[in-house]
Amino acid sequence: MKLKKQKALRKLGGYILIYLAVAAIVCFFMFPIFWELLTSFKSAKEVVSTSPSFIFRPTLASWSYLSEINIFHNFKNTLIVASCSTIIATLFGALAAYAIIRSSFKGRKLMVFEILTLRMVPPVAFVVPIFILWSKLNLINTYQGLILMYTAFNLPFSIWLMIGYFKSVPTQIGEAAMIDGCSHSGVFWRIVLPIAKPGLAAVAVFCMMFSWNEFMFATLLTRLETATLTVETARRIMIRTYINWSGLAGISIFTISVPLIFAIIIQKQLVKGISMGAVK
Amino acid sequence: MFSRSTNISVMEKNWHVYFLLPALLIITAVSIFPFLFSVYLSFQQYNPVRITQPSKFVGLGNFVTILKDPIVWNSLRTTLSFVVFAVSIEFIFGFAIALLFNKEIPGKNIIRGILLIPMVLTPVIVGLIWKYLLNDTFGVINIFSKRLEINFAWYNSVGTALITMVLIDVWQWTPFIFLILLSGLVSLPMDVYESAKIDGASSWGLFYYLTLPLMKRVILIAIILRSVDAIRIFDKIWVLTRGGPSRATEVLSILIFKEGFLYFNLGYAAALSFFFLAIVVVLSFLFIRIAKFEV
Repeated sequence: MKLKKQKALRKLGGYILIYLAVAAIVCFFMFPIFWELLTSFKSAKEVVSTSPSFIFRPTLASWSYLSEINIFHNFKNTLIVASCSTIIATLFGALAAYAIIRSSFKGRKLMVFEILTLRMVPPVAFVVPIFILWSKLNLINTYQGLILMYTAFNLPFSIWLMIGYFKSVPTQIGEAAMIDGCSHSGVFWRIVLPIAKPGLAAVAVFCMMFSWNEFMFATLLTRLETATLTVETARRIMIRTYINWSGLAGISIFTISVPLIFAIIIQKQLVKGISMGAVK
Repeated sequence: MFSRSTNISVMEKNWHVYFLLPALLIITAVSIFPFLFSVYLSFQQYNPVRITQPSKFVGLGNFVTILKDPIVWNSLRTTLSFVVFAVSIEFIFGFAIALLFNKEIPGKNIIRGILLIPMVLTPVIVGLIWKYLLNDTFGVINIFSKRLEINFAWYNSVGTALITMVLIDVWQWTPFIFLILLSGLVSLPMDVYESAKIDGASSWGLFYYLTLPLMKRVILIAIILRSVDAIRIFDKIWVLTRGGPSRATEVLSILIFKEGFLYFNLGYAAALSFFFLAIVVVLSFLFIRIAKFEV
């Protein structure tokens, strides 16, 4: 009797420990964002006070600051660049991935290897030549320039993911359709692509997030008119004199809201995409 | 009729070319061609700001300078230390969380969704948030740690700046390793564990002799993927310290960026980026060798 009670108590203790651990982990990862969210509702004085607190009187000062500096201009820029490069990269990537999987040709393996290595290359390696080339081609401070850049970076990833996805689509459907007289591109557009919608969605989300969060190329290839959110934010942190932490809090929550919303909506696909990419 | 069917068959025969063309064109134009241009650049001393002789052919001169430059070696050391520390801590931490989540926990999926969040955040914003949190005067975490009698200089001192960067990276990317390892743990065969338990194996024994070996491949992939990403770190460090107090956090990406766009030594920067590329290639080969050997 006593032994049973002891065992039950130990189990309870175990459960409590696990819950505590999980709670601690969640707190650890969520605290910075939570605090920044809190900060965005504080007044400028409270933001830089030496005794910060959880309890305060909320104000919308930092949020009205957003419209003062016309952050929506940057938001629009980021949106345009990110969505265009996402659409193009997803589409072209799916096309290329399908061709790689469903046909055999000389140099196919080399191509796959090339695409894989491109993903491994650090972007810094391209920064110098791209900057010079883009300047000469008058692509600086244009939407096209940045879109082209992001599309090129999203493509290897898109192709890689779509290859993995297409592999799981059975060939019988396509073959049956082709016997009935359907062309390769017919099979692609009318049969395979609709089936692959979840995969396309996952790729699109990944590309969108990457393009939204990118900084290094954006800062080099844009100027005032086309500056993206990341560039504008970084510019405001780099000011050597007075950093407007209150305003920055509003800007940060505003900026991360988009990838955050995407992440929450497409949770399952994100997890799948990451683990699939790993477990191959 | 005859010519029409010929046209169709030609397009059909080479359908894969048409499918591949758009992607290949873009990749070649934006990756391959600039890459070759970069090779050409690295043999020059090209500084567009210099009015007299902006470009001068120096052959391997840039590379010689690189190999002799202590700043470059410092940068390399910094980068590698960062990657090693960050990935190791992320691995241990991530594995621990994965093991924890392998058990039955209510709300597992919701919490897993929450843990996704740090990974999807804009690195510039992550840098901003942590710059604020760790600020000397009004940073919450700093004030809290001072109350606990811990006087840590975070990103302001040469000794602690890199560790601070590691911490921030651990905060953002542990969930990545956690997710990969969890997906591996979930797919482990249960029967091996059952029979081992019947034979009286301890939890530690189960972990060390069963879990670890079975997970080798997944572990390696997680570490490789994370390392390849960690070595390119730029945004967070740029926003926090721009290379840190006295180059303490000047990783290779930052050094290349500075040389190219602060000092405008574009030829030298191009050569540096090759140096960087070479290191990444060597490391990747090493990794793949180890992976093939172990698995």
